[in-house]
Amino acid sequence: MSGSDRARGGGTRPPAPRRPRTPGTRRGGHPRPAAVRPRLRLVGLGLALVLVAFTVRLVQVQAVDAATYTEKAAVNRYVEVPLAAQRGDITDRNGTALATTVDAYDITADPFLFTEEQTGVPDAPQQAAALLAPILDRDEATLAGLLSEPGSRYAVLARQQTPQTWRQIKDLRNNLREAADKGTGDQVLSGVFAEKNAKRVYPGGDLAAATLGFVNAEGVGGGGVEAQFNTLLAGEDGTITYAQSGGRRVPTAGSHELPAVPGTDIALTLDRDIQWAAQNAISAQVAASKADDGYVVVMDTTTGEILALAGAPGYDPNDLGSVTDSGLLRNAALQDAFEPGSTLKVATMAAVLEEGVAGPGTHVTVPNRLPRADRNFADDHDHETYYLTLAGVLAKSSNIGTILAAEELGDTQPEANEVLHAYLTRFGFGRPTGLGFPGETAGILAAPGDWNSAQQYTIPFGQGMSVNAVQAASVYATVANGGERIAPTLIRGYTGPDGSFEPAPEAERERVISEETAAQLAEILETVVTSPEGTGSAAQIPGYRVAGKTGTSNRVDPETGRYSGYTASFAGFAPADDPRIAVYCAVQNPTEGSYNGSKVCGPVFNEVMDFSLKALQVPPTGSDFPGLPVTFDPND
Amino acid sequence: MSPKRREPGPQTRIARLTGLVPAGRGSAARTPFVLLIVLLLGTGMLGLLLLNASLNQGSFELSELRRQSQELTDEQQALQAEVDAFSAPGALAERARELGLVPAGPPAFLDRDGTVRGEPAPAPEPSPAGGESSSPGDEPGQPGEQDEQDEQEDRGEQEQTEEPDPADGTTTGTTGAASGEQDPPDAATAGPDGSPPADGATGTGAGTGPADPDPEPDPDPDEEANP
Repeated sequence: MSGSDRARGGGTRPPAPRRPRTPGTRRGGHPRPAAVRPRLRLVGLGLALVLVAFTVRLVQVQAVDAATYTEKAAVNRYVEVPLAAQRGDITDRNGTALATTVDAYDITADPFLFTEEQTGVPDAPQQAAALLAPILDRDEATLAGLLSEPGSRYAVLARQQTPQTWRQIKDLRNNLREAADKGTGDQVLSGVFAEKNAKRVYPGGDLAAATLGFVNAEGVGGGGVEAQFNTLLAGEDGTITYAQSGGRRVPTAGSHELPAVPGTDIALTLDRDIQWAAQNAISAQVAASKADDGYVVVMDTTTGEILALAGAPGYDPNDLGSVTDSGLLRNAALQDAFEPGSTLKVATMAAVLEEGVAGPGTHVTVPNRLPRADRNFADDHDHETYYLTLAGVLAKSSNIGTILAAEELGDTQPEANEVLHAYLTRFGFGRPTGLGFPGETAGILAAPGDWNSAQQYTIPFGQGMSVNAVQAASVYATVANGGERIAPTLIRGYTGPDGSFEPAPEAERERVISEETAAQLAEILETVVTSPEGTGSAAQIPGYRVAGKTGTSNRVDPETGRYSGYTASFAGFAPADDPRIAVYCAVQNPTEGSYNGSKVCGPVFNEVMDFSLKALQVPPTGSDFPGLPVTFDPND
Repeated sequence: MSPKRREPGPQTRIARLTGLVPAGRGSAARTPFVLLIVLLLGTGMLGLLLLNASLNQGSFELSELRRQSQELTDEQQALQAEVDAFSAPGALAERARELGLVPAGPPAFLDRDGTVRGEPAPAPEPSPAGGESSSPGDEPGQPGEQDEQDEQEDRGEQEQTEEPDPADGTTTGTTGAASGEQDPPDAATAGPDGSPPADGATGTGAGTGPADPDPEPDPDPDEEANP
């Protein structure tokens, strides 16, 4: 205020006294005693006028225009600086950070300050580029091009560099300034600046990347948990207003601070090590099979917590720029719907056993072809008529046997459809998993009245409906948990800005089948693995009792909507008599080697289950199970 | 200071001119009063000056400390990133493989009543490039399972304790390198301290060679009887 005030006052003042004084001195030059009194009056009048002018100006400045001047002054004196809230971390179940935020700087430049008239050097951009290129790890010619852009006042040289990089540049600039002061060099870096731009880092690289998601350039979650809990993670930005002078804060002037509220940390249920093992195993298998996709879901059967949610191929969220196909950014295990195939037979069998229409030992005669609904259904291989028990139907993964068993669910086929549909729904098919994950699919399970003539026979063995991998895993977790379905969860809890931990709400529990049925199913599934005639022998883990089921289904090509290729899958849990962990594996469209669920996913299941059991230190139960009879003698 | 000192001057002069105040009457008491005022004003000014100076000093200190805290935060973040990179499961597995470790075989659990659960088997041969894995708790005369279990437990422990250790190692190492205060030999020895305790082994950052890292090599697992 004072500056402008003085400038204006100074402008008004000099002319006022000059006018009366100039004539006065002229008259005074010829001394006339009679003129003394009028001259004194004239001077008095002049002074009065000046005083009046001052007073008017004073009133104007201090009272009339006071607000305007205060405002003008405040513009420069008071600055409002935003305080960015620290984004919350995402951790695994043990608190290891999977996503965290660090300080980073965008290195920018003003090309105008690199011109010859500003620096006094004709090749300042080239010199600067040569100095900066090794620090920023960028091409020297590109940098020189950015810096010599004519007419430009802004260029981003490198984004999200570490504070150490920025300090290096500052040191370099200081050295150059000293050199320039001594006259031994030129200051060519005065036009380089830095803008603070916090950086989201994922220490594990591609570990659980699809689940974590990513943060876009605006600092907003662009996928996965980052997007789902963006509001919680982001926190609230604050501001600070203070008086400054010459860029330095004035200590005596008051300041007003609205502190930023840091984001909430989110603890996932994922276990970093199991996640890594799962991701490693599925990536290797997808590469070996030259498949499109693969997923592995590991669940804690006693709590419904997802311990690993891995997909392949993955991506590194630290380097989003290198992801060429945006489809890779999805979480395939939750966003892909596919026909589950034989792994779903366990749900059909659960319905059959729970309804009491058959037991594990019930005899099922399985012909090579079964005429139903204008076509002949077949198993995956031609065979003579099999004489199987119900356990054997699952062990040999017979489609025909499953159709025959499912038909028993009702007196008429529509009734049977109703019953099966009810069970499938209760197992979680055709509805969201409850994770609330962005972009999650609920799968497709038509209402029983809408099942067409073929569907009513294919759905029992997992074709003609689609699921996501977590839904499929949840079925096995349900059977493992004694028939009580626990909604899958991915969030373990939240740590607020005050450091208090708030556990996630209890998962919903819902009884689907009785404990006896679940125990029978577990034995049947164990027979699949232990029986020499079973399809699941690949899953055997020495010392442990493992229950599992293979699946090899026809895959609907998402591009054409027709069956093309296969989905290989394997699901199961262990230990079979006291389950702790359920693992589901699926590989889409394996093109190299076998496409058989047991061959493709069996080893993955085995590796992941073995690792999980060891990681969670699950002891073997020590009991022995000979396996249920798989066949019967028709002559008995 | 000056306007106040001047004030009594004109006042008395005017008073004298008007003849209201007898001349020279106030002059007797004036000197101490003026001195008092001067003293008061002087101390006030001095106090203000000192206060301002200390405030400014504080402000300088504040910004210096802010800068320091920022630098330390930066360093902490850089070190944390390094620790995270070392303790990431993928990196750990890779380093374990380099050290000649292999994924554990089937585990065995010892119950309180002495029964052994599980079907332990010798660990598979490490890849030819690697060294040999170790199990320090090797007691002769014990059944094979017990050894295997020890080994299992060791690995379990190792998995849990491993994390902070590389942290220490890398922290010391990097601080030494960054500040230049630490002697290079110290920094070099700090590295091995950070390597997994069970192996008591060679430098981690040095890209462990194929040489056997274990000072006390254990008997080959294959030699142990496996009932």
